[in-house]
Amino acid sequence: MSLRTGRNPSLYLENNGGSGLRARAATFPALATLPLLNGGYVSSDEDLMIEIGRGSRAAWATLFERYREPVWRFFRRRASDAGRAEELAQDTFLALLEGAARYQRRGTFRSYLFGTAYNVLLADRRKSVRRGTDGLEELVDAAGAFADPDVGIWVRDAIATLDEDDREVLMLREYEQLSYQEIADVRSAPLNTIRSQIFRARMALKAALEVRTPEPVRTRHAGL
Amino acid sequence: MPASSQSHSPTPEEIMAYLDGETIRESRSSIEAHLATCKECEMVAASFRDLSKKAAGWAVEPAPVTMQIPATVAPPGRARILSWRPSRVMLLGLTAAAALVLIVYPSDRRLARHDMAGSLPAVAPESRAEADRMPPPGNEQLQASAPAARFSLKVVPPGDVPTPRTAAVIRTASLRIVARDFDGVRAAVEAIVASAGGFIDQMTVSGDARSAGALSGTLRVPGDHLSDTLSRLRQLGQVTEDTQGSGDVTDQIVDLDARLVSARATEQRLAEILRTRTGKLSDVLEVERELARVRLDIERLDAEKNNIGRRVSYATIGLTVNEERKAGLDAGPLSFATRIRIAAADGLEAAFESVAITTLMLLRSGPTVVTWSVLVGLLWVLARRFRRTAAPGSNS
Repeated sequence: MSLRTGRNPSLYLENNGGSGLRARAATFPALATLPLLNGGYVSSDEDLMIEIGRGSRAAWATLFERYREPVWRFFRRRASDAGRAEELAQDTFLALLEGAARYQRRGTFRSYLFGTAYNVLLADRRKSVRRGTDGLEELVDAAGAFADPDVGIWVRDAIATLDEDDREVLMLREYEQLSYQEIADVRSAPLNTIRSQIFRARMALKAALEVRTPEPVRTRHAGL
Repeated sequence: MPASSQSHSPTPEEIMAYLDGETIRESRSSIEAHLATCKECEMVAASFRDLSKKAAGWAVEPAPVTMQIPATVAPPGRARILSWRPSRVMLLGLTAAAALVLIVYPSDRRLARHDMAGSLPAVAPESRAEADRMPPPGNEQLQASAPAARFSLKVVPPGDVPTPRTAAVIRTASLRIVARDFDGVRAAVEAIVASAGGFIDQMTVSGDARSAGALSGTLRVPGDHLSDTLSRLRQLGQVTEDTQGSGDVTDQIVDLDARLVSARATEQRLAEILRTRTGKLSDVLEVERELARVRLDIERLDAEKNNIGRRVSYATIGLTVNEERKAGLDAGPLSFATRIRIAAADGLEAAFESVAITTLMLLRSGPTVVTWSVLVGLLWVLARRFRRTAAPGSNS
């Protein structure tokens, strides 16, 4: 799931294939196309942020390309429609840009990035509450292009039934592939609490999926 | 929970953490060894793997092509601080807070700003110096930071902004002047006041072409032009009295502001009660009466505050100008030559006056004397003729 190199301890590259809980292969073809700084070496996210704070457009372009898809997916799974997700993603990048000058190396960049995205999301949800819509409903109504439409809708609906805090923690783990510590940083919660929440959420998701298992899948399982 | 009876059996939560790569190395090796031998725990692990695989089935489409890199340089004045966007309610709240600050806190500060602009000079020089050190209004909240100027704006903490301690001061001055050339004094005074941007509050000029003239008046000039105006007025003649004073009315203004805020809050509450609550007619009338009383108070306090503000903004000069001849010899600080001139002028004036008085007296009483002299002379002539006529008859 993530790629770590000696020079780039915090460079994570997501493989969206979805092959389970273990860290996945360190293959990322798009890496070769990324613009490189510092004489051809891939700069870490933290270095890029420092460079952006000093006014480097190249660093900004690199960072944007690196996290364009992850940030988009973060909001696409949580927003009511694609337009809203795009707007929130843009807001997140703008917040990164505006905060670059104050950025400090504390924790990983991914926790900083998704912490910012999470704050943008919370702000939007507060507005939704004032507008009379609910975040849970938005999640349930969220449309997506599912790899397997049956399983996709089934999982999405099951996740929507989880407790809001548990759901967020689980999604940060399953889809944003954050470590427990990074999730704890994003949520400003103790590490053990996060671990318990993830466990509880997985148990709840498992139960929900068993209840909501689509008929064709059950049939296939029954046949095995 | 696996049904294994071994004491070292990992809990499902530990197995989950192991699969997530969140266990320490020692625990990891022991869990690996356990999973290799314990079917139940391996089933638990398999269920977690299966769950994650299913969760990965919720994929989303790639980011739209319209999602492009945000502008690399935030346009001045439009950059936002993080992603915060004020809601309408928040904007209203901020507006109300700003209005409150403007009303309550720095009426003297606002005067200082006017002072800086040269329109309403009102504060003491030391206060003005502090006001000059303040950043311009637009820079109080946001200042471009040097390294980050391209991308962001730096929020300046309130503590970093120098807080001016300005005082609202009413300044007064009084001048008494003896002028040799009185004819041009009035025009000169008017010109000096006009050039300072002030006005003549009151002025009286007495005297005519023959007698000595006197001018007394009250002049109002902007506070920062007071010194300059006094200097120019002193050049009108010889200064016989020059006093200056000031009075600090800061506390008075702060008190007035506080009372105004309180009264306005009461007014709003009463208006709200009147608008939203229904009750007995007598209650409604009572609220209306109270509202009228509060509004009267607000108007009175407003007028009082404006009056003080005017007095703070404009210094007052009491001016008396006497023509030199009228000044008298007792004027202490007058020079000896001036006193000689005054004595000579007075002597000549007395001489002319005595001649004039005699002439006038003669002119006034002459006709009467002549008339009576003629009458008395006629009577005397008649009396003599009568005596002469009577004397020959008695001899015969």
